Amino acid sequence: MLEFTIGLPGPFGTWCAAVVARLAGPTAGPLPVISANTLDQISRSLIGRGTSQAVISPREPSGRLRAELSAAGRRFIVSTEDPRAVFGHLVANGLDARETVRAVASSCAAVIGCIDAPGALTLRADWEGLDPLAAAAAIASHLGLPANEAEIAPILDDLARDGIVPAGENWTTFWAELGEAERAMALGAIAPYLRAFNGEAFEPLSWAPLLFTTGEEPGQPVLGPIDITGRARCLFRGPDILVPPGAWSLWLGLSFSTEAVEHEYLVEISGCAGASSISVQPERPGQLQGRVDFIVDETADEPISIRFMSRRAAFDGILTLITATVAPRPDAPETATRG
Amino acid sequence: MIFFSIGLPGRLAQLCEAIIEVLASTSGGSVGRLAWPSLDHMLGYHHLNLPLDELALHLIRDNCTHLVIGARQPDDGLRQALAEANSRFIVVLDDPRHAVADLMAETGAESRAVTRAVANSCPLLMRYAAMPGTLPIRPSDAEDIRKLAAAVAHHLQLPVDDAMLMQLAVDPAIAELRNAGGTAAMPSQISDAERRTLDGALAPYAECFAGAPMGRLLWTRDLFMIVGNAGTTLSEPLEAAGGARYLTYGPYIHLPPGSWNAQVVLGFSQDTAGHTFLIDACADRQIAATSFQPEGAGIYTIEINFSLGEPSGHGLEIRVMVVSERARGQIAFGHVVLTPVALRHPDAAQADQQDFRAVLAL
Repeated sequence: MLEFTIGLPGPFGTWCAAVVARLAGPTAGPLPVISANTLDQISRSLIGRGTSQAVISPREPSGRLRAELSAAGRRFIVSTEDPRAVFGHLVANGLDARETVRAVASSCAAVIGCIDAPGALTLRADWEGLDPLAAAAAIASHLGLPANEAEIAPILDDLARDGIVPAGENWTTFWAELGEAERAMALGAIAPYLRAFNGEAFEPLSWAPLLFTTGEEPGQPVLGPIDITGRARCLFRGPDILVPPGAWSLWLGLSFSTEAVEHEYLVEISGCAGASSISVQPERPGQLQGRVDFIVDETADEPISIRFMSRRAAFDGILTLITATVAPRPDAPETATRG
Repeated sequence: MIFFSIGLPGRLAQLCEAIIEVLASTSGGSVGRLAWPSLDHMLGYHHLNLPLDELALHLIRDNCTHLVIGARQPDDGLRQALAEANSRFIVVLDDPRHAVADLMAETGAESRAVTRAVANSCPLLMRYAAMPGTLPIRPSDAEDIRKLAAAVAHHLQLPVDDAMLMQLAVDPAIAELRNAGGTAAMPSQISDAERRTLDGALAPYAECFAGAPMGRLLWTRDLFMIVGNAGTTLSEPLEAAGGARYLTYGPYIHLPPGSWNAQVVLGFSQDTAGHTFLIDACADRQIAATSFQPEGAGIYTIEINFSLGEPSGHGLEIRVMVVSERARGQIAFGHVVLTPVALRHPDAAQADQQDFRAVLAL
């Protein structure tokens, strides 16, 4: 018997999973909580634990998992919380800021499609999370778990004693202490989801150069101008972040030196339906902006990865990545929308 | 709990799974059963790649408390997952010929397809039978249901008492399946040629499952196919004329990993003398080949040697090709004898590392 709680990797998502584990668990103890995003990962985790009873808590549920839950008519819990709070919570716990942005942004992209899915009970940290007892009762009722408020209260007390509470530490203080570049990087990639979780129009995502890596040194972030001198190669790549299903436009803002203008470049996008690529031949030095359209289908599980490559060897030249903005295409047949 | 029963697609495996199902139900909650992969999949020509997705999918759809999985073509991915988890499971080492009889009766499929399906499961089972955590079950174990159920319950750490064992012994569904443990009668419609195919491809596995070393396999021509006419068998001679091309292919059957010698027995008419033919072995790529020029009419045995890794892909294929553009005459396909030269032990990789460390004093 599996129960599913889908949510961001923040305090509220963790709390929801823990509540279900205790409500659904046998008297011997709570069910194990397994963080797995794909059917294969779920199967391996269950074999590893030797159990068929668990709470599956995917942070980035795969398209196939989402589709199978709906097709099977399963009821499940979806939790949302302020992605900035989740980012603050994870970084305060020692995680790397860039990796955390990737994790939170990808989680937002995967979770947003579940909010209005059939069988979902969606709980918000800033609404249902303020009344844990009512939230837990709603979870029990939705999943058909036999529990009344008198039974739920001690469960919540136990969780609180273990430090599992719906709201984390005050993230605004942490946010204020964050460096300007890191704050901008995080806000650009995750803040648009805050409005989208509320059902408002999706604002463009902005991926800072810090989220990209240089082509030749994996893990080395793009920190400034890139020297194109040398053989034809990948000059930068990234950000490896999931984007919700729908039709999107990528706007790349780049600056080219005079020498760099003489060359042709190739922009490739993977993680979308088909492989999108476009050749770029800058017309003049200075700042330029180019657009590549792509579609993310419902079953896509791969993050969006952009590769910017030189097509032939260069003796000289500099280019600078200024911005990468991803915006929904309202005119396209598949428009990115919640659910 | 998830309970794995690794076995051939016959009634003995079904019997064991039915026993586990009854035993698991005493722990409370519902019990689901999953035969994996489906019989349709087993009888088709598919890659040996069982995604573990099926397990999670079944639990999502069925939402059962316990799950009994009957793995019929368990690949290396599942083996590694079970090994990493130190899982306990049962391996049902039925006589493969009994499994063929059961599968033919259940599906009505032709004997060639069923023989191939069961032959594909056998080398996989051998790998599991050697794993720690295994309880091997053989046909003779089914003679005493109480004893069998007690052993299964003990191994899988399921609660059981005398009353439950007594109940199992008189359960009509269990009793019906119990017949699998004895002498399974072959379907009456099976011909002598089909029986030879069955025995050649499967009898060495039956002996191996009973504790003997792996013997020689014989793949009769009924398992192979004619290029451009896959539905017919090789009972008639083939014309060599028609340009360079492959004449025969198949049977896409997996073998235990190791080194093998294949003796391909072919008949050539006088007109084929001096023309070149190629015999090769493929396991999703060509792994051995030899060319051959008959000197005159007669029966020839052409040998090729090759090595195979863990079963994967579509299985082994032996092909006969006409190389000469102007070849003439006729070729008759006899059979292929496969002799294991050196079989790879399941824990060989670990042993290799230990040997290296010992020799190099690492």
